[in-house]
Amino acid sequence: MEKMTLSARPRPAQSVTERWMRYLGFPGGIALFLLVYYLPPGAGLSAAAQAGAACFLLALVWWVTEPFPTYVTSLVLMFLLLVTRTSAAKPILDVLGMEVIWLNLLAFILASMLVKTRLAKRMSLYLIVKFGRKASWALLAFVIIQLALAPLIPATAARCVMTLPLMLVVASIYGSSEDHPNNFGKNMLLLNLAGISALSSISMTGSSANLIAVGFIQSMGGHRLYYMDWMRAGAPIAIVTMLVMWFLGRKVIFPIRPSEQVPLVEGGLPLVEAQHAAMGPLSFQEKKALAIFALVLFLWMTDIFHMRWFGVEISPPFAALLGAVIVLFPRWGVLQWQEADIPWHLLVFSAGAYAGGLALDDTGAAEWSVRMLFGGLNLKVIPFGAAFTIIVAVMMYSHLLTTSKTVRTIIMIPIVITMAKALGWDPVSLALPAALTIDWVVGLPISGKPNVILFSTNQYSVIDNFKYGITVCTVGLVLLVLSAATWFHWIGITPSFWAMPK
Amino acid sequence: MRTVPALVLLLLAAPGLLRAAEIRQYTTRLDLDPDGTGHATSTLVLSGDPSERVVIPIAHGAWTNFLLAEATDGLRLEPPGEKATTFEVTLPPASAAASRLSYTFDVPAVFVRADDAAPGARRTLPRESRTVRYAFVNSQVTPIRDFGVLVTLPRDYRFHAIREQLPRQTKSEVEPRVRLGADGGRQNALLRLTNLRQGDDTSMQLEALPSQRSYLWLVAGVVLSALYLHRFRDLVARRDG
Repeated sequence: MEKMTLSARPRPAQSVTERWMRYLGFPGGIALFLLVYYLPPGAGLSAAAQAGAACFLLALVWWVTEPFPTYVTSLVLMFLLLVTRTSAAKPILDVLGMEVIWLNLLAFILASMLVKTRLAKRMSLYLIVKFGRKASWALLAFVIIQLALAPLIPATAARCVMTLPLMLVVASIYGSSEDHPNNFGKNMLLLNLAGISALSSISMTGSSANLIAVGFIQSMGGHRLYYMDWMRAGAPIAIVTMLVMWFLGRKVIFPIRPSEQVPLVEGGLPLVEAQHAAMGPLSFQEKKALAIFALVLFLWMTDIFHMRWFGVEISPPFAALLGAVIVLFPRWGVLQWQEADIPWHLLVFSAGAYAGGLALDDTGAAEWSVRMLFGGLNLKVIPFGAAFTIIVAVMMYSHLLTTSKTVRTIIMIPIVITMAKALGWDPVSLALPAALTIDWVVGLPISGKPNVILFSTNQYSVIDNFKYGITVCTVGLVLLVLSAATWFHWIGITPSFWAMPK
Repeated sequence: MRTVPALVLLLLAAPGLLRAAEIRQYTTRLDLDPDGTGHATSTLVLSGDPSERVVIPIAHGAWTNFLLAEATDGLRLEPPGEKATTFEVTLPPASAAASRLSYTFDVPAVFVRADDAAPGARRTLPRESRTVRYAFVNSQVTPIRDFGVLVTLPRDYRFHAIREQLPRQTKSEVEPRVRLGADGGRQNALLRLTNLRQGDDTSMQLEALPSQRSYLWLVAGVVLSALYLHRFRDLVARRDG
């Protein structure tokens, strides 16, 4: 409970199936690579894009089946991108300097501060004492925390790293660790992942991609969306999905046994209460950590005012950088460099994933795939509800093809608006629901920054992530379709569900 | 005193302001041959006042065999001199909504080999790579509303990558500047830009490779897979007890 370590050790194969997946994953990845690499050229696809897709699919199979640790696969992917001439050396190596990598690095220094000063432990014990008499309530407490943070901090990675120490300590109280992950831990981390991602769709300011979509709806669709227009459509979907997942996760996907419903530390809940009481009042170091964290949090929350206040915008990595400087400051700080638990293997894994994702975007492979997905659809002969379902489904699951929400928005929202116009529907009726799915990037550990960070805890596999993430997306899709037939129609967003194109 | 520069600017801008002519459409199809030459066909749709003179910029500085292929009745064309970068047309005297003009020319050494690099220069592309670069500047006052260039590769070649596509796509543009496609089994690249005013430019550079890929990856993949399946078979070996 005292330590939050993100180990670089590969996760051991736990079942016969996993061992076979590992064994066959290696040649399977190579076979898929060769198949895509030697396919006849697609009309709109360059050779580099085809090679990039082949490399990425190989890495995807290896990340899922884990014949190597994920970070080794990332290194292989980076090498393949170079030797297949998908990307040049500089853009591949430059990914280690990307904002997300810096944010991860600095945020883990801050997280180490919370762990060392025992502030994370205090907050976790408080959560358990207040809400954690049952595992289900502890999980619900995290849904509420993510719901509260979502409108305050638009950066999903920042939200993830600030709550990660709490997740890990609470998971360990319920018996889940890296060495012995249990279903509570899987529910804890994946429910938070879903919350961090899906709850960003509550407001149009939840992510920059949302704002890009709003811009397209205004410039191309001719319809100005206001804050509340977005919220009254997006908030119910995201919140209900989270509640459904809170139930489905612990009852169906990763069932929590009755024995795991209570804190599993020796001594049970009374011991947790005793430990919390024994911590006494906040120590000076804890207060210092709290002040540093509050400063960083303040800078994250007030980024839109920075230009007015300071004449420069302090972006999330630089706010964290300032915090790290204070944390590591000799004598006045609270941490020494060697005490910072920086998961370098995670940074390498992230770098590889981003290099692959960027290669797909830069070569046009991602755009080509999305256009192919939409290009084969003939929506003129089906009612609005069916077209709505298809478009929103393609939009929802397309996050598996690209690692960038912005790229997906820029490619897909204009297509959706154009299709809506061609079919005679109000562009908002399809574009707004499609835009609500932009932030739902939960299917794979490489689908977004929080995914990468949470996957590094080694408490769930790629398949666990996929199973949970696809369920989240499917629940969201079903709710969106039901809303199109009812709620969205009543508030004037969509036409009748059975209306035919004009 | 401030009115003097303003008047000068106004006088300078006046011909442009008064000029009614515009090139509504300027499309060029450039077919590349394996020997490195290209054959271009440009088609223009022009509009303007009757008998108005319009100067047309040509994309390629080095061209040969300029031939008029088709023109609206009454449209007069002054064939460009050797190495000219523009030529002049006079719109028909009778009022017409739009005039059409089509001409062809050859472009030598446009599809260049990577090993044509200068002696001593460091090679940046594989030996079998070839590049084609197309650049265009609207050097004249007549605006071009819709500009497009379709570069078609020889059979048995395919594009490896788009190395340059300028100007950069703006946020309001949905389509990429250069789009790849295919026609009759030959891959092509379409560069499009709208509303080119005087001084606006656009360019693309494409790298192409022979369509047939090397079998090296296939051999390496099969060998590595076989080695792995042999050396890691303990992963799935039956574990007694």
